[in-house]
Amino acid sequence: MRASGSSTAIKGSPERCDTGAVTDHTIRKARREDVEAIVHMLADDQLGAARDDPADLVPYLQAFDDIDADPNQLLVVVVSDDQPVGTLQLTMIPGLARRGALRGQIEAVRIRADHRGSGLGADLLQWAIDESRRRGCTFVQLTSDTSRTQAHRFYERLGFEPTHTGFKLKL
Amino acid sequence: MDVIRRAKATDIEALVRLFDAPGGPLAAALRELTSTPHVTLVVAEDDNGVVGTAQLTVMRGLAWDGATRGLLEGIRAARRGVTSALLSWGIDEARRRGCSRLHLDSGLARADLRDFYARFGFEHSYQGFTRTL
Repeated sequence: MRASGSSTAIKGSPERCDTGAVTDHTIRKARREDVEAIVHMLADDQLGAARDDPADLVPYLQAFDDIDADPNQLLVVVVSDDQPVGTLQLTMIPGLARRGALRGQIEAVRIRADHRGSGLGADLLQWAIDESRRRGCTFVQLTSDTSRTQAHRFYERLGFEPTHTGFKLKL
Repeated sequence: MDVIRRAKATDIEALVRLFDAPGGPLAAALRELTSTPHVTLVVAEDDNGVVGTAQLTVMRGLAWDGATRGLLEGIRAARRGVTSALLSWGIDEARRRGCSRLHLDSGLARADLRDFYARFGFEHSYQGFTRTL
């Protein structure tokens, strides 16, 4: 997957902006120079603050290069006024369940604090849903930490249903 | 359990049986799975043939210092002992491939499975959501 065909300009709807500002935003594939802004968004989060540190970008840049080289993985940013203000990662995963369905896995969804409540998050999720459909997925899935109850309501408003329980093992 | 090995095209009949699904779509998915680098599909085999399967997907992300993590799923097994062997394989393989975390999904209503996974050290930490397209 390359940027062509995956970058979509979306007009922000004024009626969805709490701030009163009319903002245009673009969703596009992340570039290497976006990594610092993405890591700041990951760290500026109740759960991410304890585990992500933007002071040393080296491991993040290595991860970016790996993701960027993998046609099944897509890291995207929402850009407003030339700045990344939102991000998510989308991975295409084949499988045997559900009659051998291809699915889109959505992860690491973040909207910068000063852009929350403006409809950007919903646009970003809708973009991931559309992109997954375009690539032949029959469903999209995501997991959200059990403590993020506000995020759970957000996903349910976008048509997601709670269908499974996620377990984690630290190795 | 005699062996856990990578799945191949000739395992299709056994996989159709384990997933109780039509062969055509499953054969196409099997081809996709065996040619996707970040996915490892294995089958468990004993004297009776193929008795289980599991899929490990290894992904890199920016979160957690650019951590590599594994997703273990698509587990189907003829009996509980086979599930144990597949879980142990998944944990070892994820560790070998440099994953710092391994995720595992289970249906909402399977309280018995949750206790079983806990014995391997898995903690319940996520709510999973799905949207059909």
